[in-house]
Amino acid sequence: MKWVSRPALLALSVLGMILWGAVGIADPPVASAAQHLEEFFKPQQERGEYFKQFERPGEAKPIATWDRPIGGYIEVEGKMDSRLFVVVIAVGIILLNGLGAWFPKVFNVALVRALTSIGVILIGWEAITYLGWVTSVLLPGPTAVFAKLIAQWERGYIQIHVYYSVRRLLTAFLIAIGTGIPLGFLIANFRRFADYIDPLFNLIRVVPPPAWLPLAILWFGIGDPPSIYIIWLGAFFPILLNTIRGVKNTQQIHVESILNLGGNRLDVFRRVMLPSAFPTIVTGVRVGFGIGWICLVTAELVAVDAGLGWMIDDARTLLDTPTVLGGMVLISALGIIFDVLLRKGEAAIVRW
Amino acid sequence: MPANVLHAENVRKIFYVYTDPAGTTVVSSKKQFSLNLWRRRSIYELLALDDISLEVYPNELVALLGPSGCGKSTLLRIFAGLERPTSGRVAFKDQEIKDPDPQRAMVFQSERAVFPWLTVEKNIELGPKLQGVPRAEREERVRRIIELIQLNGFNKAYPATLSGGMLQRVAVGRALINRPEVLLMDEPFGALDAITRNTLQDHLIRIWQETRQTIVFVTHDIEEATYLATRVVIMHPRPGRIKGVVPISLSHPRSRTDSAFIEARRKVADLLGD
Repeated sequence: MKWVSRPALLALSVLGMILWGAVGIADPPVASAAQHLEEFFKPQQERGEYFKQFERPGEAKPIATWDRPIGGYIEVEGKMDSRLFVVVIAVGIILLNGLGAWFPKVFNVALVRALTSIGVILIGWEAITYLGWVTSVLLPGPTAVFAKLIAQWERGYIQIHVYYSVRRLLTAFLIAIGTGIPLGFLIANFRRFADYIDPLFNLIRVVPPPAWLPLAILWFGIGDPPSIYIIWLGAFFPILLNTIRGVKNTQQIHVESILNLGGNRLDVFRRVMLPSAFPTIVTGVRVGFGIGWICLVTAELVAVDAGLGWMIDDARTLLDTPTVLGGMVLISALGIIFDVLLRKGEAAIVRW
Repeated sequence: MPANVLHAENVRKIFYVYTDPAGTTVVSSKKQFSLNLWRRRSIYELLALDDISLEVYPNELVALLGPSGCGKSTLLRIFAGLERPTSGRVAFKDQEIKDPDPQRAMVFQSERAVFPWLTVEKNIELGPKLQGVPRAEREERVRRIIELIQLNGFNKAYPATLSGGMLQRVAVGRALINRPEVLLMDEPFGALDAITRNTLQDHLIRIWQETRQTIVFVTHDIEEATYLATRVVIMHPRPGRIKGVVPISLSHPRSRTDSAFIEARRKVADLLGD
């Protein structure tokens, strides 16, 4: 990779992300509901290969494809051992706490405590399901959830849905940043423009984005566009409002300084407003990302036919509770990963 | 008599003060005729400067001394081009002052004027950068300025990690790197503690002796004015007028306990107290 410079690589990956998103918008709907119904109403013996895959629940075979991310119940044969799980976690907790007490400089105390509380919850959860205090259909234990997650991963099911969700999110998010930040600068700098456009935005802003779902489905059909629209709505306003706030917080003394040093109006924008608004804008981006993530899953429960939200809702219809819970674990993990990435990015750029 | 650098003739400055129904006070240079009573109300005029005439000559260190509200900062901002006089004439080397110019470099009262998102080096470098000075020369100038303000080793430090006194030195360096004809300082040491202030006064005297830079210096501290200035312009408030001018011919660096210094200081205080 010696001949590829780092900025070029970065630019390429950003370009790739945008193209990826654009393809996502252009994709036709992937489900074949008509085919499904046609086969369903045929007599049993005339049903083709298509339905047979649902009739053999014993086999975990990769029926989901990139074009057709349709689920279907799979039975997981080799389950994890509940008792082993509990013992491993318990020993882990004890070891971590012991080591944390002996070597407080090596082991992050806060992290040890966090892992301890998670471990205790996992043990309790596994125990009540193992002892049969709750029905495993309504609340399967962590071992069942992890086993199912691994099985779904092996047949390529999870990867497909994560791919669709993340692509959708990034597309909507890039659009939200690309519209929110420039509009914020315009509104903060041009009083007349703000007077015209502020009331409109305030009217739209108070409508919760999911309330747009029915209309969005009517406008755009089922698939990526309505969900991208919903996510954009969710992410746009925090970014916009924080940009406005950041620009308005620009210190008069900084503007006067740059003018006094020989700067023109462009320099005021580029060298004063942009950097002094930047930390606030980043906060807006992070808040927008959180809300966009909520909107993504909400939209996917209704308006799409692939993605993590769709995956857990589809699993619900099949009473496949381990996949529902596993999907929620994935959603939480991805949300945390994105938030950490944004924080790192902020810390790397805002050094003052 | 050498040609003057700054020239003010019969300068008047009126501010119009408005109060929003929300309670926010707005001070504006423009009289705003608004029918919208919700937005602007209770207009009154504030005569900040009344009939000011002043000349500043090359290599002088002029102090504008007066209590707060006497318009000394306003006069300085008019010289900097950040405000326009309501009437009268201000000129910089026989040209009317209309806009801010790096030739009339300003050091603000607050050390927050230093850009917090730039390192010390970049803050100082900004002026020449805006004027398109080539990189090599810029670096050389920055090096010399950092030497002059004695902040070697802090080139890459962000302002958040520096003390108030160091920040004011950065502000002075940022102004001096443009090689201004006149340096305008608006109570630059007012926000600092007495010990740091004394150190920075000595720094300023050293810089002034090295560069023979023309300096106009605003202060409300009699001792500071006497200690630094070659000429003290005494102003009084409501409306802002010049009360008198005291030339101080003592040589720098001065001693605060010298009898001649105390005599000069008494003269300034007497004129101020009338």
